[in-house]
Amino acid sequence: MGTWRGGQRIGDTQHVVLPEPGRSRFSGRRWILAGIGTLVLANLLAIGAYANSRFAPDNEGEPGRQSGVPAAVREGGPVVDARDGRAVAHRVPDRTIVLTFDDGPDPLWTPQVLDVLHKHGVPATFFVLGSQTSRYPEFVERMVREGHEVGAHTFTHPDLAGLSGWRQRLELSQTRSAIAYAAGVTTPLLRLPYSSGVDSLDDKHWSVVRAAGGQDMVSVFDDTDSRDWARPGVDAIVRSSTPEDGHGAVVLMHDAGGDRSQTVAALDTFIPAMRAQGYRFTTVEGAFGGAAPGLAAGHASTGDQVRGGLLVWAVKIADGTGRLLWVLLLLVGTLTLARTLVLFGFALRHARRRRARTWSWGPEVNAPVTVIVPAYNEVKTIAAAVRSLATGTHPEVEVLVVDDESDDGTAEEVEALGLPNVRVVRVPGGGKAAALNAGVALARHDLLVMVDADTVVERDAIHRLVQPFADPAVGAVAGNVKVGNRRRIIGRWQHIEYVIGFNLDRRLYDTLHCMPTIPGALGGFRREAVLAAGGLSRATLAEDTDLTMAIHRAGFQVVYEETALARTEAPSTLPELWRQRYRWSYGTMQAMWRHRRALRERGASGRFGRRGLPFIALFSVVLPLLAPVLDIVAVYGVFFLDRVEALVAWLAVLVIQVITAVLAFRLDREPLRPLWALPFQQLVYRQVMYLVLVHAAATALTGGLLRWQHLRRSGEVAASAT
Amino acid sequence: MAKRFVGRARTADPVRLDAPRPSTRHTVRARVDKPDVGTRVIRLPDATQAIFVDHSGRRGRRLRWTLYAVSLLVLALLALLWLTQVVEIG
Repeated sequence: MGTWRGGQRIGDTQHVVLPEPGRSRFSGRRWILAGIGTLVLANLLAIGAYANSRFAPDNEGEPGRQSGVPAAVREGGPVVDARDGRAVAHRVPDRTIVLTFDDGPDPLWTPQVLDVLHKHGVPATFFVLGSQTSRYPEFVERMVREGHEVGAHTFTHPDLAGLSGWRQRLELSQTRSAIAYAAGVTTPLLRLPYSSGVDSLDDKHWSVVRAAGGQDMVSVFDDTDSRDWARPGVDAIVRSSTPEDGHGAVVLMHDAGGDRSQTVAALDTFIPAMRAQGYRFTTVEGAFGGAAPGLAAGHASTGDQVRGGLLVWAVKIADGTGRLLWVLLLLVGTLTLARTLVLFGFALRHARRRRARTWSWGPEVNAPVTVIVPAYNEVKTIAAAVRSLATGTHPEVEVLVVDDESDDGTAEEVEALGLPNVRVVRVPGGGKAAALNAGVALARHDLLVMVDADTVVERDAIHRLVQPFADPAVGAVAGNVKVGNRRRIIGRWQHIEYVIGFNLDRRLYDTLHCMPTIPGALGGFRREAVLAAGGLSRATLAEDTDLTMAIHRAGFQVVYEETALARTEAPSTLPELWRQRYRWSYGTMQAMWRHRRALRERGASGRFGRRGLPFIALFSVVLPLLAPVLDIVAVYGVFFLDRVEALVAWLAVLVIQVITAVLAFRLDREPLRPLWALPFQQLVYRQVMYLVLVHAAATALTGGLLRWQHLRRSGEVAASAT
Repeated sequence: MAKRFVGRARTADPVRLDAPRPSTRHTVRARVDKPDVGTRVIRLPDATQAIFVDHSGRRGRRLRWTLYAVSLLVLALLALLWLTQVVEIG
């Protein structure tokens, strides 16, 4: 029996014929798209790091050798024109002030400076940073609109003398492009970062000035330094800015880079005071235009503006991405920490309560039990599983093996055991859910236990598992499932995950009455609860999660019995693990979506919907989906931030996980030895887990088809049980 | 094969030619009792209908092409950005 297509058996009798899955053309492109996404993210992070001066070398010391600087320049004025091979310095005319502001624009201080200048009707020259211009182009536009002059102060404020030629050219051209986009003008003016008076110009910086001249730029130094960056007080700033004996001066001030309230206040005092002494205020072009033609701003070409636009938006998007990453990191960190604390509190309380001598579910339950074992091609493991179930300590156990059209002799293997309390029924193949439904219908007893065919239970597991049914409100019980095949590293990782992620979590869910899943490997059910839940559905690929949610909604309690132990066979290769978790993740999303109406229903369903579903969605889907943020920020930290700090942060996360793991292992009375694999788990396993979740979410979003996939059994657990 | 018009389009559909629909132009239209809504069979929702699955593939196709277009646009802009930087310093 079965479903046939093209002369080949493609499924079981109840197989729903769906389009031939084949190998989707999209499956290869999916990796290309993931690669593109990674490339774009890496670019944005690099641009963000660049715009935030992460690459900038440490700045200045004392001036170096000055022998190469022409005396005419060193002893000349603050405007050094090295265009066309010239080396000319120009002085400011007497009783003339050129106010210059460096490091802006700043969203807080630049508008205040502009307001003061506007109040006094004074023009000034702003030497803007390209990165800041990219972030706040509107202030540069306002400067030009209000008659001020704009010059370049490099893109990221490095000491240009310490950079290679191409980096120097890049700093200048990028800043000019950003200005072109922001204000539609080109500027020939440059102020070198960390520069002061022209007399301190050394050989290294002279070469930068000459290179800038080669790019048609004129370097502007200062005559008086307000020293406002040191915040010495308003009077001191005014005093430092004032030129001596009626001479003219280029005055250096700052409209960004820290608290500039003193600068704003000093400006408001300085301007009227200097005017009272007969000074006029002008721009660099206004003061030197006559002596050095070509200092006026020109109209930016469309090409310049497009180039600037690309740069400005790249910086804006990169900054936005960076901010989003930090917000997400904060969210993930807070949620993880909160979850860990809650987990600790509730798990410890749960363990203490259960271990108390007074703890009891009620009178001992010795009622007969039917154990349903759905099996499809499980010949390697079925005998050990059935033997462990049939020979347990519970007084009356009926083991019902539901053979789902196996073709490897699974049913015959069970029959050959010759155990009196074991029954084999063969059903037309319909998948696990259908087999379990058949088992429920054919079971002789009202207490049911569902066990996977690759799972070996402890002798007293069934007896312990059914004890919670002493409480008539309990409809289902989750057993404590452990990984049996731990010889390979992948098995160890899963063992750690089972002990921490599943068993510790179950204590928390048990306390909060919102257990999302009774594991298919070992779960006890009251028949009435299964029937009230409508049996097992084939609508989802996580039929155990779906059934558990349905039982909650039917008004039954779902609890955890940690002393009912079983060992299951976990996937032993990475592709198999991927397939299993892909199905689990997808199935959990399906189950949550299927039961979404519980959010607005009344009674038990509503209680579960409003308390359990958001909790499960947050910690089973949202938090794992955001987990990549941790790794992205860690990699970013290694490349662009302090490596030691990044490593310490990563180790701090690891320590939290180690503490959680130790607690979980202690509560489960497991030896701590396998925990040596935990640090390596953080480097491979965790990433695989969230990639699987992303994959499953993408499949759900695109409406793709995911089928049950039978895992290859090694029989390791079964072999160790015999 | 003779051409026929279906609506305003010319067609050579052999099925339509071989088994043309009976015309109702000259037939007498009789009154038909409306179905009894109260006793109509209730259509239960299909509990085995897989969740999220779009058998038509339309949703996936749309998302995929949107993703392709966005990726292409972003890559083009990124390439343009780098190109303009390289050209400027080259």
